[in-house]
Amino acid sequence: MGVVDLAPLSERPSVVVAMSGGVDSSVAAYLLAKQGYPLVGVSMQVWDYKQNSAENSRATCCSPADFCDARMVADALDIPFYVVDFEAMFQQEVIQRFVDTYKQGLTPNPCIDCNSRVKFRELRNRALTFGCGVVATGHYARIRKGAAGYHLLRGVDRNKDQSYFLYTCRQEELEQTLFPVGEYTKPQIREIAREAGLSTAQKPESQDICFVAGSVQDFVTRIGGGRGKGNFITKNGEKVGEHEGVHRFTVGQRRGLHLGGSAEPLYVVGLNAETNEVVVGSRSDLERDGFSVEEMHWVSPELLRVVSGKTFPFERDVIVQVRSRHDGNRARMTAHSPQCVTVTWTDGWAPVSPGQAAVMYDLNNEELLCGGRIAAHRT
Amino acid sequence: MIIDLDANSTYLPSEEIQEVMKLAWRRLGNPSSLHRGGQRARAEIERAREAVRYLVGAEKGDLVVFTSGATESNNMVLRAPWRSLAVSATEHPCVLGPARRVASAGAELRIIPVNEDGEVKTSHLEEALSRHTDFISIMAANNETGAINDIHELARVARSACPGAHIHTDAAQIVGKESISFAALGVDSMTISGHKFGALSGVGALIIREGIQLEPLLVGGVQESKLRGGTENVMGIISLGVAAQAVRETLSVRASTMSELRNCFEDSLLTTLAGVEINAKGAQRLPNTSNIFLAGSRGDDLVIALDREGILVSSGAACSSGKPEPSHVLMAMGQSEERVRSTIRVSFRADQSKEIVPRAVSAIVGAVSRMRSATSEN
Repeated sequence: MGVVDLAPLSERPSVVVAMSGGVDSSVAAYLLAKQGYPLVGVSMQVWDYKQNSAENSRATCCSPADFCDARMVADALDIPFYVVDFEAMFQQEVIQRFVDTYKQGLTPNPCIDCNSRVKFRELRNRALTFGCGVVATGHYARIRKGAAGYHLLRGVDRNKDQSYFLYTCRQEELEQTLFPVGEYTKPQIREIAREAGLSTAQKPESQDICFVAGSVQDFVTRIGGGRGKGNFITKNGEKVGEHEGVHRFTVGQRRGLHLGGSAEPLYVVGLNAETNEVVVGSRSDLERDGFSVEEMHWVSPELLRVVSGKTFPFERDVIVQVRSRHDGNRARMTAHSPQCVTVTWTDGWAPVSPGQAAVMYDLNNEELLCGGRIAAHRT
Repeated sequence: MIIDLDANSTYLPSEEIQEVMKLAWRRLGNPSSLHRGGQRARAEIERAREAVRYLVGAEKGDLVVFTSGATESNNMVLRAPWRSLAVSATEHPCVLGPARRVASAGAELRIIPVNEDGEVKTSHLEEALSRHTDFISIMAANNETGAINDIHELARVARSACPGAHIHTDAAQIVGKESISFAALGVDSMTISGHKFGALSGVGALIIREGIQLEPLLVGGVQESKLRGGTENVMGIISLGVAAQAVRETLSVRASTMSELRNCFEDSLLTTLAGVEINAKGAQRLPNTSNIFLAGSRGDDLVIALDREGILVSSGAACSSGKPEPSHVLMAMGQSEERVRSTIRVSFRADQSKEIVPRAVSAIVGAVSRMRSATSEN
């Protein structure tokens, strides 16, 4: 159900709106309340910040102080508000996978696991038990209903677009999800919050990963996913230095290597979890014609139809986005099975980090078609 | 219409009490002032004191000290110089917390176990006492399960085992639901809480037997026999007095109304839904309290689902944010954490009618069924 095609007031379903205490979800709740949806505000207790954060928990979202902000907004909107415990689920489905992925020398994307496994699965289950069939969040993305099904589009504000994190959404989830802020730009959202007098209007952006305050690598080390000292090597196997563990690096990374003595800038071009080795090289060493993607999720109604027709292989020209901050490059996607595709760059390229998501959009770079996890490079 | 089935959390003032409070506002000064406004306030406070004394069956020479509520009353008795404490496992946190603090300062702390119905039996008590025990606290009725302890008998046993010990009971939940006589219980001090029987929140009392010496918690004022410095909470104390009088006059009717509601509710739920068990069923219980295990549900989610339908209950683990801990009361009764997390508490008011029971039962049945089917789908 797109937020634009409104049902008559009396038929609007009860909606659980996930409220992190930030301005985006506050405005999401405000917009839906204004449109007459019966709302239930929910903050998800996913992580024990007191116990797990050495740093000031204010640096993250979803901390107890943020719940307080969410509660104040809910009270101002006169909607019921609850903090619901998701800690065990979050530990199992997000934190553990996050640490395990680093251990394998891959780069995890916990926000995607959180969306697919916690927000759009467990929160939806809980919402149903509260008598709410629909879940709303403050994501910058849009949903449109078409003749063949629901289409997931980038948010209007391309700088804030979060559709990349939502590629695991299924049709039945899109049908029962609302993304009210995706129809606006961030400055517009702040303006709406200010005009509505929401207490979170001026709240700063939350950065990076919600459950980590400070360095991700220190966090991984602290909760037991860290590796000891290892070597930097060149692609020919020559040792060029030492590092503090393979979990501290991501393919494509340039900063923080602390390696001197090279004429051109050095990049991480490969990670070997078994030997705890970080392979470094020049930017051109990162360049590949393409890559494989596994664990595919098919989102657009058109591709869902093709995949269910089992007409493999098939090809599509797409725009591929390989990191959260990447505008996308044009590529040819070849689907070999419902689970696996290969991507061949056709206009420019971007370094890819195995473990991260590759998400395919249409050539207008507007509609999300499908996505999956970038496979480890064949070496 | 909201159905308030959470009377044990707070028993909201009746309209009658609200009316009295409206009138009380304008004519009262500081009770320590010499002028007429002060005199009127002082008189109201003393009137309230006598109403409370009458309600709880305290003797003329016993002290009724007004406090901010049960937590303060319990803190007032539960601190140094006690050297060896025995408190029951299912006490409210406002007894367990101060007891642990005394223990952390070097005192010995023994926890008196309860049986599977949540009762402290004399055998449990005897085992927990030593010849050094100088402070004993056992609650009169449990806030979560409603299980009532035989304080009279327990105090007798404690007195004969430890003649010099101070015996305290937290009676916050029993007042207004069952009759109670401080004098007959044989204890040295007793805690009561105003908002548990229709007064405002923020007021309570500590009843102290004549001749027992306690140190003030708050010093710097001569109020409350120098045991509680600071200007009295005049409006709160008046509400306590009015509520005490109202409850005293109607206690037997209140108790039978509440037990009829509760029994009707339990019978109806047990016949409608499978996988339901009443906790502390074997104990004598408060007439209004029902603590229910609902297999395949989550207590905290049930609270939310029922709130959505205008029905207020508690999951026994009151927690507004952060991670709720499983009930220490049910754990002490030997229940598993999983079972404890599938439990809610329902507590009725005396001014409710039987018509609410079918609505409450059908809402609970509906919510539990939704949860059970959601769980089986995954």
